[in-house]
Amino acid sequence: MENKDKKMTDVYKEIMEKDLKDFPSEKAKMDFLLKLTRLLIW
Amino acid sequence: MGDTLNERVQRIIDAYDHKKPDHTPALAMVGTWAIANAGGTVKEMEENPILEKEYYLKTFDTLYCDAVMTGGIVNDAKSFELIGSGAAFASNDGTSIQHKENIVMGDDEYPKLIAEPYEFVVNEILPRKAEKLRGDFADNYEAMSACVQHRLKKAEVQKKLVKELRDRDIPVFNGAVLSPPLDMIFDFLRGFRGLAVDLRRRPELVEEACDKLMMYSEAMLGYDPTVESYPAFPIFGTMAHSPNFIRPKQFEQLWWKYYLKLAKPIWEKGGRTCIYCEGTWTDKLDIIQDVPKNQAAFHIAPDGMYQAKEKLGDNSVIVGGMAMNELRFKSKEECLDLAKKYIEDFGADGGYIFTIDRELVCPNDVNTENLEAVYEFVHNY
Repeated sequence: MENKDKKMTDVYKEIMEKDLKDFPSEKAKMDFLLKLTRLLIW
Repeated sequence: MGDTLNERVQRIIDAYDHKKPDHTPALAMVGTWAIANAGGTVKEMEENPILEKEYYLKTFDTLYCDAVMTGGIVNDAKSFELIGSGAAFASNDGTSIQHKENIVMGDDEYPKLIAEPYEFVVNEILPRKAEKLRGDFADNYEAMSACVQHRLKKAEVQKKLVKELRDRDIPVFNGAVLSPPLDMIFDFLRGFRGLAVDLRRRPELVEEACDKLMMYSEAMLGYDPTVESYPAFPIFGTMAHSPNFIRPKQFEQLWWKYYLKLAKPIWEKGGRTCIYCEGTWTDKLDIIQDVPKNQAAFHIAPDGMYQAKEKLGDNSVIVGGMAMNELRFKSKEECLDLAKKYIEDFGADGGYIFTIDRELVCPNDVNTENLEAVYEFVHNY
């Protein structure tokens, strides 16, 4: 997929791979992002 | 001062268990007020996050408490600034965090929210709120990554802060957050006016949305089905926002039902909960009696505490007491008399945690001398 077609959910995938690589599980990464999303849509 | 961490925690557990306490436990609810009280600003903390620890701790040099509600300041403006959202910003004097409502979900978008609660919120709602997430992939990643790194750094500071509080024998009351999905619609997606209309015109869609938004509530809660038991402390805390604006029937169907779905597995495994009602909930007291004995607490506004004690007191813990304005405007002697009355009326046989009616936010919310005198009095009475 070209970058121009990527959405925020693709950004989240990249965040999970790079920024959250030290998290213990995929669930922990997703829970972190769901919590953050809920905060940021205030 | 001088009580050990275990003594303070046990005092709170005893309150939940309705045991006669050696002293009524005193819960501190200090938010950004603690930063100003230490001479700092939240503005400074944005650039130097470690200051949060120094400022927050300083209040407890002179304020006695058996627990503090949170280990630091939950929200901050920097997280929003990094993604180009103006939703949260520091006040002009830099001492508190203010919020500007920005409702971006239309009343015709419930079907999209229900069909794809993750994709719709992340791909559509979030960029509508955040200017820096509307660019190309690289720009969006750069902004979101900066925000994530900031949150991770803030979490690290707060981890150290909680440890230093514990080193001073002060436990943090709230553990995980238990937040029913209706508050996500109310606070973040449709706002007060939007939800009020939706509850009349499309209640079935609101309910379907609540079903789907449980994924966010479950992530907030961090519930792990493999955990066999939860400790009696810290407490699973709930900041209730929409209940004060909805009718009891709507509350029961759209808020309380989901609260019970989230709380029951916690209660069954020994965990304890506390709802900060942000009001009296007088019209909801019959509904919220449906909780297991000794496992739930309700922080009730001062003018509703006597009714709450009558309806809930045998089963649940009443949390509350002084109104912020009393601590701000009354004399020290008047404040101490009120504190004595609260302890005698509510705490004689347990089932009561003393605190104030809301989290302290601004520098002048209370007279600090009164606050410290009252908490010391509660501890020694």
